[in-house]
Amino acid sequence: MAEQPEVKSSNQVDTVLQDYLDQLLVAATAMPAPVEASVVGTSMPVEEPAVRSQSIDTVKAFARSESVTQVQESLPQTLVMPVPSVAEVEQPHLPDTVTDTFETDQADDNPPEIESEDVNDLSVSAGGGTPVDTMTLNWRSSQGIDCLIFKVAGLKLAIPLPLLGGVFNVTDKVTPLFGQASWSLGVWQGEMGKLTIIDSAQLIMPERGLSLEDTGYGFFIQLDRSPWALACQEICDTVTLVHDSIKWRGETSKRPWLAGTVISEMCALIDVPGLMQLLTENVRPAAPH
Amino acid sequence: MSAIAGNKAAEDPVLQWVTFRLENETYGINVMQVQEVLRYTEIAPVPGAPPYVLGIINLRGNVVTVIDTRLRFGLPTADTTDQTRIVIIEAENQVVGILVDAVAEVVYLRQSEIETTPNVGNEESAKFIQGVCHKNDELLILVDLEKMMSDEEWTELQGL
Repeated sequence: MAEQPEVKSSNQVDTVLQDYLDQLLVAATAMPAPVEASVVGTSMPVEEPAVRSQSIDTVKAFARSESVTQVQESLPQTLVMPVPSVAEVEQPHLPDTVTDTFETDQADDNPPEIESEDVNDLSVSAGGGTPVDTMTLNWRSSQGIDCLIFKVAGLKLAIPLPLLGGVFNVTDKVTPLFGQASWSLGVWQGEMGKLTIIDSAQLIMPERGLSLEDTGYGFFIQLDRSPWALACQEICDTVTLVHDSIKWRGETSKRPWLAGTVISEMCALIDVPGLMQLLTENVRPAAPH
Repeated sequence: MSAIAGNKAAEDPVLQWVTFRLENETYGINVMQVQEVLRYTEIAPVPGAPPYVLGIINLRGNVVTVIDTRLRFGLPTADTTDQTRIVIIEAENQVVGILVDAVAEVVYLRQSEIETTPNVGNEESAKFIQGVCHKNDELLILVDLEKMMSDEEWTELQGL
């Protein structure tokens, strides 16, 4: 009985957060017209980094491909190619209630474990389905988590560097496949393999009716080690985020791709496992031959 | 040595694919299903035929139904050009023609080179895609002709 008001209060907070995000998305998409793809592909704004952390430098050593190196040359100095590594993810303090454990292909010997309060925990994410095999992050670490900020149709999005598979400059065209969902731009052949390119504007804010196919895009952001990549128009900066700097999404959120919002950066933090699960759930099973 | 090579070839056979162009993309179909390639010829419309049927042609005395491949793939319509071809194929024990923008070449692909991509199709046509392959600096979309039509549609074609 005594807990009843708390539940209501929690729901109200969720509603306020939801409204805030809605306003953020509206405000962001009302910004000036996005940059043309051809322009984006050749010139990059060089901004002073808001935060330059040591961990970013250590990531540089893991840069893994020629294409990645090319991208590095054209990106702001703070943008480096992260390769998810166990070393990057600090082992969280073992909580009393560990909800689940995921393994990565690199971290078989010492898989990171999920804190129950971690918003990236798939148990918090909407929907069932097969959990996506990915890392979890220790947002409560005093050093925080480095995130890359990029822009899609005026909206700033942040992705944690440990869950960033790579940033690729758009060199070759994307091959569209017929009959696909409106948020699929097609298949792109990178040096590391084929990626299915997602029209981030169509997927994240379909109600705006924007499409990167029309407005253009300059970069692909690969989600962890998955075959999925988000198309974006601009790479902005890297910042270090700590748990308290993020307004985490409520459990009633209808946006499984959203981990929370970062008011200081006016950006939305992507829940990479949630987004990957959302994409995976939309894959049609292969028809029998 | 030759036995090992033979085993490898059996495990990873080389397949031939006829490639054609549609809306600036290159598609491939199994060469074993292609009977011949014709220049564009006048196609006689068939009253009451389904929308995906352009009509019929006379192929050395035989009537062959021609499919509107663009419509079938959900692509916009386009005018015919000098490059337009009718590819005569055999699928589901039927001989039909498919209209394409141009026929490109025959390529050799190892089975292992063919990759599947996550199919996020929300239309029936998405199931026609058998896989993709990177060849000659471009992505080749491989089409499964058998799935281009449902069983009912193949039956319907037979009745035309």
